[in-house]
Amino acid sequence: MEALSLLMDGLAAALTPQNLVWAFLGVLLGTAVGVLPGMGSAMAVALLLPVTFRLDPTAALILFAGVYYGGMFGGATTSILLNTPGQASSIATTYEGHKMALAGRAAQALGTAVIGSFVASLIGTLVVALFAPFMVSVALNFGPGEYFALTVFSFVAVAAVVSGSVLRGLASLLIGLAVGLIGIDSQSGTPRFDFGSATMLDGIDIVIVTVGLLALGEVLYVAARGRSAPDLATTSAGRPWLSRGDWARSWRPWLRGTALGSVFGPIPGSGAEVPTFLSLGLERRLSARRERRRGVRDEFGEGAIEGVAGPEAANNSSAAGTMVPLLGLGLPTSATAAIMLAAFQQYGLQPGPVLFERDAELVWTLLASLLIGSVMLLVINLPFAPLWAKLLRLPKPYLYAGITLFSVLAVYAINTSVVHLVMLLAVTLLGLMMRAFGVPVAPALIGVVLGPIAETEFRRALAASSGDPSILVGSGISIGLYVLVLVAAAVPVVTALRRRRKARASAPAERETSDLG
Amino acid sequence: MRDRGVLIRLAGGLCALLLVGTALFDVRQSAASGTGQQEKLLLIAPAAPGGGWDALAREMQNGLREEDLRFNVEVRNAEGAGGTIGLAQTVNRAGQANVLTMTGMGMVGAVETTGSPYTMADATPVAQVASEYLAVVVPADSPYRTLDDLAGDWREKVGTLPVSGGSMGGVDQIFAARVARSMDIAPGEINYLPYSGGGEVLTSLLSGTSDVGFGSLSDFGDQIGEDAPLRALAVSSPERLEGVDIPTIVEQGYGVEMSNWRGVIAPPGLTGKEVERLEELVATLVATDSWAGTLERYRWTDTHQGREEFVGFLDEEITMTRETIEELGL
Amino acid sequence: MMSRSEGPVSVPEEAPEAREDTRVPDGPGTTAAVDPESAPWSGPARWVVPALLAVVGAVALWGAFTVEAPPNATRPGPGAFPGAVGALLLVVAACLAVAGLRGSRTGDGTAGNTLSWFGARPVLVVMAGLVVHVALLEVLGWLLAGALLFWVVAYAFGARAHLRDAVVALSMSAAVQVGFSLGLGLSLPGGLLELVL
Repeated sequence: MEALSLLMDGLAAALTPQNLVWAFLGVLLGTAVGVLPGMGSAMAVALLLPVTFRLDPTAALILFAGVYYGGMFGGATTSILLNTPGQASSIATTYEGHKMALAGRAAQALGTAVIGSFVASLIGTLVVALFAPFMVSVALNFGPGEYFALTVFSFVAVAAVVSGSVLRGLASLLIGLAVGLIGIDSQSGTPRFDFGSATMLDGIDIVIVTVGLLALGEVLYVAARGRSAPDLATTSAGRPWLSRGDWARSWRPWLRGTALGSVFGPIPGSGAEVPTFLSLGLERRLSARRERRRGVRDEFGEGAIEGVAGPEAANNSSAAGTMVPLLGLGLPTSATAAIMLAAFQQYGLQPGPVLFERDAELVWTLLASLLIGSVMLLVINLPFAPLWAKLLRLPKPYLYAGITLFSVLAVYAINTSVVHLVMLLAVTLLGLMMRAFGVPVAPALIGVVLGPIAETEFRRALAASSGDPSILVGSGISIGLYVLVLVAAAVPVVTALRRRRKARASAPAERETSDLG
Repeated sequence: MRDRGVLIRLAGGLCALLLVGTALFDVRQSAASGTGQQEKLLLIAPAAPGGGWDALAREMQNGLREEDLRFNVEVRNAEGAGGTIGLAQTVNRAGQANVLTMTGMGMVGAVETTGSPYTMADATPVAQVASEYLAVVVPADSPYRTLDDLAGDWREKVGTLPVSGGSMGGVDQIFAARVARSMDIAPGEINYLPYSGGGEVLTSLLSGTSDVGFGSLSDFGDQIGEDAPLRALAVSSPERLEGVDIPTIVEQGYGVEMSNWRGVIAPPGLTGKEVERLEELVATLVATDSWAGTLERYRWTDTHQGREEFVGFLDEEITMTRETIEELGL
Repeated sequence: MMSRSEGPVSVPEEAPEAREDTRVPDGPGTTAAVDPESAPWSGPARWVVPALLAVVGAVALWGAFTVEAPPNATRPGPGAFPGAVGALLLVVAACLAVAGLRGSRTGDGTAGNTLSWFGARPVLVVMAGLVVHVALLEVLGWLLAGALLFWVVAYAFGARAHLRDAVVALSMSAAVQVGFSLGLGLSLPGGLLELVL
């Protein structure tokens, strides 16, 4: 428990009124920036970097920690309210979060997100503080073969978010995979599907895809439906706080999400999105099982609070988890972390295996800063959750005009490029078509995010082994993951068969085709 | 009741007026060209935040402000296609004398590999600013201790020995290709695993996915040394670097000397005088104390070159890069 | 007590398999209340998605066969994944087409998604607003182009208090300019205004 007392020392050093002001500013700025899709925390940290040269290291680290966590949470706000995830790691939150908002439970969704983020950051930071060296050694066992197994596992795990027709879900996933193919192939340097445009060489930015398919696609879809679309302003706002029932349903997903984020967050390269998808898939499965076993109604698909609590917790604990490779290896696993690495170096903090011995004081101060940042996140954002939720009560024309304005701004801000806006128009039309013809958009987003990772790791594995496919199942980790994949794939099939047999027995089946079309 | 309605409307109108007024002020502010220290300067970083060019641009912005050279400096990220998107934006600003675009070895390579419609010749070179040297590294438990060890083994299993580095066509791959060629190995045949950054190369080496890593010395930084997880076989500088106990490539009998240099270019169509002013601005900046601090922080080496020298250097680099890329078959 | 929302978007859903008996959501209208996500297609609309998938699949396959890999790229090369995705797209397109055919034969089109609920006019207005915005953004500058976009979209959604809409639109656009350009240093185009001011 030496680590704990060191952490306390760090906290004591970091807890000055002045540092609290920095933490406050950081979280505020991070949340503000995170709300705008496309301007993730990386941008905010980059903008701040020059300012921090004038601060002492503790204050600067606290500011960064605040921005980092604030940015993570800001993305959740727009996911829930406007169906527009600010970054890839908030995509999983949109599925149930926005449905909750449509059902008048936006405040509860935001509430469970912010408390979940807090719980996860707190536990995640403590886990990093206590187990960082051990986690580094585990993370180093992840070669491309293991990564590929992990992405396959994620694909299967998130298959759970596909509801309705299996074929349509598959179609959507494939469209996403096809979009992900655009751009220079990272493994051979060959341009693919660039259609002669230099901007296409880098592929279609994930922000364009999320804003086009989700936010603007939704705007056009609501416009097309006219009066038959639900009017957000008339949905009941309900009570602004989490009820006892909400707490009871949230705390387990928070802990499960935190665990997933802590386990997969430190793995370099997997990013925060994989654990969020895993958490969403897990909660969905558990919810379906609760219904089967205990008759508790499965609310997934219509705004289940578990589907917000889990992914948001996973998101923040993996943000804490990225500190593990960053501190232990000097290995930045995200753009934000890369800039923070530069910041550390300016204070003479040289990340690496011996960091915890050599620069103990600064490390513990940093971890303490992360704790303070997560407390500040809670303090600032919890009171605002009901206020944010009120946004939805704006008159419909202004609400959708505002969403449109921010969507365009977000995409323009990526690169101040009009070409990106043209791409956005194309993706938006695709989104409208998919909605109009009842093809779910969720699987497409998963395809765009996970597809390129899967392809890269698969080909990298085979290149590293000079074409010997045994590398794909060459370790206990990957074999374990594939076993989980088989189990995860077998369970729904078995239950479906059982249910189908039951259905056949009661009513002669004649309409199995409608499941396909 | 009616009075209240009017009041609300009035307050709303006032707020709107205030907002629009502030916005107009902002538009004016960013459009203003200014003179002297207030003169506007736009720094284009052809990379995303977090990348090397972004760091260079932001450090320059900071230095210019700190040393009271220019206050109205804006950094704009124009990432994409290895930097050629930023190059295109620069060329399209022909005649604008207040724009500096970050450039470097990576952009020279990207022009060749991405089929960019614009080349370095379309812009106006201004100065080289700084360099980072490159290193050949292996995990600490690797059997290779010198370049000779590596050369012997590599010749035998060219197509299978996995080596890693940055993205395809980037500086690291060009470096790997040149090292291979100096060992009489055909660069096109090496089994090169591209990663998106130095950090990932590091994990690749430590997890045993690849056997040899090529990259900037600063990417590996503290991981190299006695008890550290990596061992550096050689560094690409012409002479041994101060305070770094790594033999050079040349010293071990292989003819490779290269650096990941960074410089600045300006849009085409400037008068001689305009270019001179930009060149002078950069020269003043790199001579300041705050810039010395920047170099130390990022472990860059000061390789400042004025325009004339830089133009010649650039020509050599372009020829050399073109050859290597052809050999790589990209 | 939370009120469960009514309306078509959040029709309580069972597990996918339970969908076989396509329930007509008990909304007010008949065609207008169809939930497109679960309703089968009927009419000519049923060919659109398979056709779209087939086109994307064909493009992917074409790309897979024409991509020029460097001579000694490691296998599988850059064409392998596009090829697999393209082939799967074609298969799914064919399955959907077959399902569509069988669906129509069993006379399942009663509650089908015939797109009759689709109001083309507001969609076209919003699209036009977006196209104009993209075309004029760098000419007019963010402040004016953004306000115009806001106004047009609000109009498409039924706002008719033109003066108030215009004031709100300008304020929104100005607020963005102040917040992100002045506050955060993001560069937004000034356009015409730069010349006037």
